[in-house]
Amino acid sequence: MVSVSATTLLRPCSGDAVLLAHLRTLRGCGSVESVFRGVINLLLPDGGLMALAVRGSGDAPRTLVVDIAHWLDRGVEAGRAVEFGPDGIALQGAFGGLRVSVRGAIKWHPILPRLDSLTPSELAVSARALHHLVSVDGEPGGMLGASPGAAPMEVAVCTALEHGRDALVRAVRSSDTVGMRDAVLALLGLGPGLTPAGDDFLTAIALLSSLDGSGLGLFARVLHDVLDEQPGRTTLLSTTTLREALSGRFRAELVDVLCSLAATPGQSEVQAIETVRAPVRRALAHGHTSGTDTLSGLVAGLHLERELRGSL
Amino acid sequence: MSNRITSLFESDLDVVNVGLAMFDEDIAAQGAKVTTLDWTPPGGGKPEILAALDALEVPEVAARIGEANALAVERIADSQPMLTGFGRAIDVVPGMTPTTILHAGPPITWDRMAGAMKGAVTGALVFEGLAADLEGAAALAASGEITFSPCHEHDCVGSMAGVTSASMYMHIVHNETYGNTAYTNLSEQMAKILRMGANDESVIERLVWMRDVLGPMLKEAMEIGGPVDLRLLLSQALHMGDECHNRNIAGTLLLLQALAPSLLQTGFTTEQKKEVFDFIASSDYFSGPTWLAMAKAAMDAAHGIEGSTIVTTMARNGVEFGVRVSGLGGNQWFTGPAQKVVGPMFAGYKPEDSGLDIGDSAISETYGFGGFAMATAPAIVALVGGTVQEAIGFTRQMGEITTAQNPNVTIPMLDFQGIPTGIDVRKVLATGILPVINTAIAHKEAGIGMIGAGITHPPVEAFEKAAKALADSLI
Amino acid sequence: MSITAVVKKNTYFDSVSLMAISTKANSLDEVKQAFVAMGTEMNKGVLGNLGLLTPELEAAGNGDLMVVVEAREGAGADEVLARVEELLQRKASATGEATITHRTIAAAAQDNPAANLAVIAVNGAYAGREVRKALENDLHVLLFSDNVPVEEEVALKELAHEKGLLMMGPDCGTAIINNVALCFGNAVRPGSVGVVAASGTGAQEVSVRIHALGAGVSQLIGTGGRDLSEQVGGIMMIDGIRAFAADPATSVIVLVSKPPAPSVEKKVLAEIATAGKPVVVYFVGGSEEAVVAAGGHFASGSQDAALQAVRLGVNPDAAVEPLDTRRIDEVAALFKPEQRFVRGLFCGGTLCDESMYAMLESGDDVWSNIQKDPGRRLTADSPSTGHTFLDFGDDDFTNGRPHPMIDPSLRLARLVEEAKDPEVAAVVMDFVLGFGAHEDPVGVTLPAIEQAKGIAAEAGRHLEIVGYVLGTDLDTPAPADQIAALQAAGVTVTRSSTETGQFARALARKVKHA
Repeated sequence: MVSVSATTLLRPCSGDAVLLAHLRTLRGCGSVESVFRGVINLLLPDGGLMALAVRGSGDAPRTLVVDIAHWLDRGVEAGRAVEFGPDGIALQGAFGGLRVSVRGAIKWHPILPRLDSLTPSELAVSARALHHLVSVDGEPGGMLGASPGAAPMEVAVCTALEHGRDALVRAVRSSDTVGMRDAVLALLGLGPGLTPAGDDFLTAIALLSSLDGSGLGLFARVLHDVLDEQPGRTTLLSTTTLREALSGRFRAELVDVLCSLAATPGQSEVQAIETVRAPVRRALAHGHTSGTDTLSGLVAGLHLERELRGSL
Repeated sequence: MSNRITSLFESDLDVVNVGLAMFDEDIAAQGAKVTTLDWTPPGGGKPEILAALDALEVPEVAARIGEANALAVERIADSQPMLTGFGRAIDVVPGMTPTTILHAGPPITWDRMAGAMKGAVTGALVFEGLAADLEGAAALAASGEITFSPCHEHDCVGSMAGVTSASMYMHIVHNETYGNTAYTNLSEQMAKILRMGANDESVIERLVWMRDVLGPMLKEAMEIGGPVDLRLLLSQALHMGDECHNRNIAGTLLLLQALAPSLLQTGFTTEQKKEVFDFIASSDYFSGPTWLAMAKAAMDAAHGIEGSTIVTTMARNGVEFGVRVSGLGGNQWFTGPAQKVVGPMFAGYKPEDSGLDIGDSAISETYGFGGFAMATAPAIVALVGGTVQEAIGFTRQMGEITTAQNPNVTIPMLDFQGIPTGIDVRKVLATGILPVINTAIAHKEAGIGMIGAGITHPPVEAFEKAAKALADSLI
Repeated sequence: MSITAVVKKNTYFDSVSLMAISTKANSLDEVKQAFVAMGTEMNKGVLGNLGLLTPELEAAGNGDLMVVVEAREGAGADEVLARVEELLQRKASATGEATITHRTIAAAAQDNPAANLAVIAVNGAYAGREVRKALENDLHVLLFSDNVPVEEEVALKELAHEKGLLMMGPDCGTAIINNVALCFGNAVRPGSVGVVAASGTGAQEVSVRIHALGAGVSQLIGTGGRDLSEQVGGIMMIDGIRAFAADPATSVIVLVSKPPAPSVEKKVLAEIATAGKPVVVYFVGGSEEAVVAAGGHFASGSQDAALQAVRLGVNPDAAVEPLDTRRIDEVAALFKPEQRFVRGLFCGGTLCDESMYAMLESGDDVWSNIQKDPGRRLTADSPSTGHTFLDFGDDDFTNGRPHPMIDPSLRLARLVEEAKDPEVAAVVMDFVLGFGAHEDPVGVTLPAIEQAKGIAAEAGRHLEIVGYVLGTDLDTPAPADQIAALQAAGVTVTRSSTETGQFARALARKVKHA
């Protein structure tokens, strides 16, 4: 018989290199923020957020992938204390303790492509290719508009998302910082499900703005300021993800999409669609509408990049 | 004479309610027990099917069928299929020639084949050296020089496209009890593979290695180690949570456990042995074909019993679903259109990418495992999109269309009840319950491969045609 | 607009399963729309614009999950909430006994060896097959279906007889077995009167009258409307008599039938001698002589059958009140000279028969869809003529539609038609309560009654409507309420099927001689 009170040691598979470095010296008590089948979010002693993802999850900023199939039957609940110490992360489940070692994890660095190698017309080709795939394979209910036969509540949210997107595009195009700020506020925290679609949309543009050669610097500053001034505008997870994106760090799936886009110069739109198809499909599979909403942000961001480049 | 009526007056009323649900409430409200059926008109209410069912239920006919079916399920349950060896198709499979291509399901011509099957056929022709490239292979396939024939008509079964060519290595499974033998191909494991319709260089390379290293090594190992009792392994695997069609993790470990000592004693290099062990470890599916050949050996022993309405074959070629029935022996196929497979897809694929139901692997369900034994494999309930209870429900529901429970292969979760065995054409039509089949989903186009897994059902037409033919043959 | 809000603090789901829950919630009947989102300012803003922001939602924080459900008109918020909670928690329950709904009688019988009777109410084309399955599995059968070929009925009853099983029906959907009313039946007190009836409403009427006389029923076996026909030969009535003869709980037997075939009547009456118990015989239009000669007790009507049975087996002093004729005189004075005919619109075949025979006894011509005399037989589409008595439960009317006890539409339309006929003095109707019947047969007819009376009044005529409510004080709805509603609408209410016939006859005689 296995004692139920035994502490189970969980091996790490891979982790965000920045997070791993931080955890090595982090000491103190945090708590469990939320529990899902595939990920547990932890509040760090410093108030930040990190994720413990299960085997097979893609790498992402502030995420440690742990060698466990899922979190369902571990009895881990939101609110429980988490100890960060020299032996790793200790958390208490209903059926005994769990300790996650941070040693031996493969370090992950998001490696982003440069954008300045793409000419404006190549940016346009890649944006159109991406748009094609998202509109064909994406999931409605967020940035793609309401699903057919949707209830009035969904329709209302999707309409609001559309207005927010249009306002943002207009403001960025005309370098109107006040308009940008209003549009960001209109999109933050808006949308059905666990990750508001507006946040996913903004995250992709934030990530684009961090690339070398991006023309979206003004937008990045506005978003940064809004997050500082109104941190409670959306969920902690969204806020954290947006901040990471502004510093050029995002889920591996989307990084793969960006890298495939950077490989499209010289291709026709049809060729570009084939080049980016596989990573785009993987990225679309994220969450319910999350992948679609993020890629919609990327489409909008790429179009903006091209237009801003043109105005130089 | 009226004993039964008097005893009714003395017992608690316990009603079976058929047709009108409102009577259920009325009867229950008065404190009597009542069970309301989920009733649908038998035979889908089609007059000609009802007539066939009626003909099969005339008491004398029904008695003959009853006896024949009892014999059929006895032969299924008593069959003891043993893995006795491996050999090249050309050397072991009856009727095999260098230019024969065996395929899954009922007979089909090249021009009507599904994408996955075409992909597999052209790949196999290149592998056999009959064509230089895929384009040449397609031309050759269309030329009429290649003999296409169903696996089932050569004592074989073929997973998915089931494409089997002369130099591929086959399992040899001998039915100790009844003396017949069944064959099937080796698992190519899970990746881009021929049986799913993939056919690029990596696929051909793997087939060559399987022909030159894996097959010969397995053959030699069997010569060293001797026969393996597959029914025993199957029943152990079911106790370990496999249903042995879509989940094969325990079965593969058990088979490896049986083969490993002999594999180590073969004359191959350590490097080659490691390759084989790595290959087996690369996918849980390794033992998948083994169970198919096991089931085929048992079902063939029950085929051709005059008067039996037991289904001995369910097989799909990606276009048509074919059924063979014991009492209508030989190669009489009853067909209907192949159906969609519903289930989770690999990331990035959508239902519209799916090819239709394909493969001889439904021999699993014909025998009684796979979808019929879902209750024993709670780990795969995701396939049915639901709960463990729903999985148990599938197994119990299959009890309504089968004839017996196989005492040699049991399900712990159902108090060691045997797997439902002997699908009865009459019961399928009378209940409107179609057999449930666990299966993989191949891409609809050639050259892509597996994109998901799920469950499907046969088309009812196949059973309707079989019932009519049975009625004609028995009256 | 009914809004139900659930705020789940710190409760999370996978986004995919969460959206699946929201899709499922949207498909619930009680739900107009459902929406799941985080409690951020913007999301709350959208809800506010739609007027859906409850205080509970207002208080949700940006880390809380809002489940917003708008219930449909008429659906209770609590009920909807319970359904949605169920969806949210569904994943948790995965173990326990998996139940299975059987598809076939054979499977259900094999799974439950205690099963002893099958109620079969499928389309007549499939009914025979299902009955055979039930009999083969040793189940007694109540076959509710109609439109079953008579040859099939004979074959099935022969099989049942061979096996010693009851095969009740077809086309006479009633039985009371072990105090449980099956299909169309009334809540009748348990007792010692055994009823074998080849007529559904006849059996109901007799059992209800027995109840009204303070007695009760041991068993009621509905043999099917054609059991006493030449072809079927009374197989089930004879088996029923023998079963009651052997049943210690039965002290007296009542036989009920529409007019039987003479040869069969003889065969059935021959059983009386060996029954060893008093047998009361009510065959509509039957001969007293034959019954008495066979040793039975002749009943002239359904009321009389019940009365005699109760007197013979339970209470010798039982009695019923005679018909009050003063009302007839009052009513007759209101008619115009051309108003000479009575029209009967019945749900119950035997109720129709009994009233029709009452009319025939007084020498009147009566047209009907159940007339034995082919010269005076009407079909469902023929207009009424002279005295017309229609049985809306006959196959001719029900073909392809529910029984008039469930679906009254044909009869309602006919009532309005009759009101337009200047020769009509009165319309006689029955209202059958009990299991299987319409939940408010009077209520559903009142608008048509009002309309009919209005049509007549406009033409300066009085239209007399006579109604009989068949039911016991244990039935739902209560007969007292139904009667009160009829009386309030100006309907004359009779107290039994027999009295209904007497009233119609007396009225017809009065207007003829006026």
